[in-house]
Amino acid sequence: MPEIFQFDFMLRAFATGAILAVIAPVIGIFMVVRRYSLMADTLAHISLTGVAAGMLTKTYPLGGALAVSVIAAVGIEKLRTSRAVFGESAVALFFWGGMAAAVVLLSMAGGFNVGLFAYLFGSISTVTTRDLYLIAALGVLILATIFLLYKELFFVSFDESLARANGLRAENYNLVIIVLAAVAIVLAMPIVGALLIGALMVVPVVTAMQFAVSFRQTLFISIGISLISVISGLVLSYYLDIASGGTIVITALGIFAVVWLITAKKRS
Amino acid sequence: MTTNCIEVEHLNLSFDKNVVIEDVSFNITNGQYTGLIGPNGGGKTTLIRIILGLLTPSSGSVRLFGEPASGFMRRYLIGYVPQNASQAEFYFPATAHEIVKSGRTARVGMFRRFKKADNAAIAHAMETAGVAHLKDRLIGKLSGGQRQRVFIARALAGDPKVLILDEPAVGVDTASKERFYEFLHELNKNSGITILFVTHDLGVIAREVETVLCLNTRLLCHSEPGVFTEDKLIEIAYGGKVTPVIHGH
Repeated sequence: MPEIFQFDFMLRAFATGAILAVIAPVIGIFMVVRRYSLMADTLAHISLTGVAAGMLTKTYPLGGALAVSVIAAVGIEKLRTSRAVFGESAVALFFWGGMAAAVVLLSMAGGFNVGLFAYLFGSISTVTTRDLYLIAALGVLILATIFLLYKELFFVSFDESLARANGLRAENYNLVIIVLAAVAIVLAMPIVGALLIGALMVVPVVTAMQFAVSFRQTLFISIGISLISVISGLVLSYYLDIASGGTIVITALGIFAVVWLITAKKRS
Repeated sequence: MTTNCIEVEHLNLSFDKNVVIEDVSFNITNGQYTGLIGPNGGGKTTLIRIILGLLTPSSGSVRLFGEPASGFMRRYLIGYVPQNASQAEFYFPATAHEIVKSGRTARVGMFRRFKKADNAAIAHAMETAGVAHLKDRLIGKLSGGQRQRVFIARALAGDPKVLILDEPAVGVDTASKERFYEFLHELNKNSGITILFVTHDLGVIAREVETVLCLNTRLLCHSEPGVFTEDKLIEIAYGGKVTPVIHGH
């Protein structure tokens, strides 16, 4: 057996990475087509407040991140739909608010340390067994929700106005997407890191879209690209002793560049 | 049992102090073929959005199939083809078939999968709208006319009793426009679907529809299209800015 599979921490990293590689584009595709690509980044930054609160109170940081991220997701959607401010401004207010609160809490917790660095940039050695169980349970929940509501989410994503005219409560489906994104972001945090999570939700989907096929095929291709990026990123990260998050995202971007060049002729 | 599918009574809508719809009342009976005309800003799209439940009126009522519109659950009975549908999302990675299929979402219902009968209805809608051969093409790669037909197929996929179209021929070339209105006419005659469409094309109104609604904040007329050969009435609706082109039958 190769050395890489002899360490428990690597097996945990591969298991969580594989779950993550599936759920990130499954939610990401709805974010991309709805022009919500940067929403993932906002939620990731906000969730750092939860991590900081966890570090300050010596409780489970991912638990805090999950709570803060979901509450912020609901808050952004409510503020956005209230039309009190532009949708983009609603996202920005929460982004800065989250970062400010995180910095304040971190300074109270004794400043920046190695633990925080792992949450910011991801690390293959930080995935605990507890993380794995949480990621597996919530990963199944996310996939089941998308599977059950797929046709409604597709309809609302393509034509929200018509979906409403047909009696669908579009606001509820928008909320489902953003809350699921908030959950997925927290799940991705240990491996990919808060600063790069958005890339895993968006890059494989944008790459798959270059093939110009159906929505369903785009979804499956993006899952494949995401799996290749995460697995090869983790392997490279182990052997080259470099940050897993950055390696995964650079791999995903490398695939995008190759696909973009290959499909350039077709486009022209 | 009522034979009206849409009943509008004393409808008013104001945004702040700006009156958009004022005391509008009319009925549309099952199987009727109705054109809605009026100047830009006259409230046509607003009226349609109220009927569709996308806007709440300041006062007055809308009844659909005899039930108050506010609590009407079977909204899939009203198919809708929105304005500027031909400018739909260019980059959205979905095929014509996926788009048409989405039109049956509400009828199938939450947590339920598409069954054989649903897939048959979707295929039939694509056949009827003449887009079956475009099934696997991406929506962004279709011409304006083709996309328009895909959106009609989407509206038909839910087996609607009423089809509402908001300026359906905008962005479509003249030849396609002619064929398009023939298609609508056949749909009304052969399938018995009630049709209400917004248009600026007075030629179509004169040639095709059974009833015409003329709206400029208030409902200026609700009558048979023959009346529209009168210049005076057109002047009332359009302020004399539109030159009507009346085609013979």
